[in-house]
Amino acid sequence: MEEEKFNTFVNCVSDAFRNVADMVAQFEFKECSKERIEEKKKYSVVVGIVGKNKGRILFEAGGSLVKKLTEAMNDGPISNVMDVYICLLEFSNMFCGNAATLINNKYRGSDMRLTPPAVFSGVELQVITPNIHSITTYYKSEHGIVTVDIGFEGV
Amino acid sequence: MDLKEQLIQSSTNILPQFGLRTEFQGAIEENQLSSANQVNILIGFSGGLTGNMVVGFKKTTAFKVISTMMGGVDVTALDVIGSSAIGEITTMIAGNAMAGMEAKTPIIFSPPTIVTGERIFLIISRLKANKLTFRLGDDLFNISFCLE
Repeated sequence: MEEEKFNTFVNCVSDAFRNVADMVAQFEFKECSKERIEEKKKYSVVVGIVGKNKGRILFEAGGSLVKKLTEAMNDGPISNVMDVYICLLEFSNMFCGNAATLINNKYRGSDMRLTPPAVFSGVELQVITPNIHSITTYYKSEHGIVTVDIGFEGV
Repeated sequence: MDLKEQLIQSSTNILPQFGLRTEFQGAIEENQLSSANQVNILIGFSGGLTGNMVVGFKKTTAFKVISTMMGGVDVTALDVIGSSAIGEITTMIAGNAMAGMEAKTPIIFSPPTIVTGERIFLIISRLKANKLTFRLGDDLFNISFCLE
């Protein structure tokens, strides 16, 4: 994948992420310098990228931010633990899908497609995608830190 | 043959090529949210079929698989080379299974992503997933998959 296209996609994901967070939950995220998600329980969402270029988008957040995001998206308290996972599936689908559309419109023939999101939660979660080159962007909101890591093979 | 049969055939064909004797034990339908293993390898696919599959190992089983693939070296942690090895074997299982699906349009899959940790829960779809259990020597491992 050409570096310019890669950087454009990173920007598309960044814009889509902040727009969707604002639209569905009225959360305002600002890019920040590298910060760790301090909470023990973490959520990681992996969305695969296929087409001319293969890769994945990894979205990570701590438990308390995810709970607040779910409550904001559901317009009320969480009634079922499944709500949290479904909310993350929907949220990731929206911003990743939005970014893929932007890149496909900009680069004709790119044919970028996404695989369905998978959500993991756990303690000491570590996520590795071997043989990809990735860029991590850190975002801060009043509810906490999230990271969005975008990686492709052959960059 | 459906994806379940293809994955069974693919696993029981490919793993023994690395000296990993594998027997299929059974299949169950899983709830959307399920507890996962300590080492999980996720591959998503799109095109002729859309969905996700996850191969799940206990940490010690994953180390044994990596050790066997790397000629018997002692493996005590999941480093980059080990992750690459276990990701590669999962890609081979997925590729072999998808190749047998005879889909009208090609099935393309994402690079493998390895998720490790403790007390892991996982959801790969809003729909119920299928879970296949295999015996690998004295240990068990699972393949969960879900088609959209």
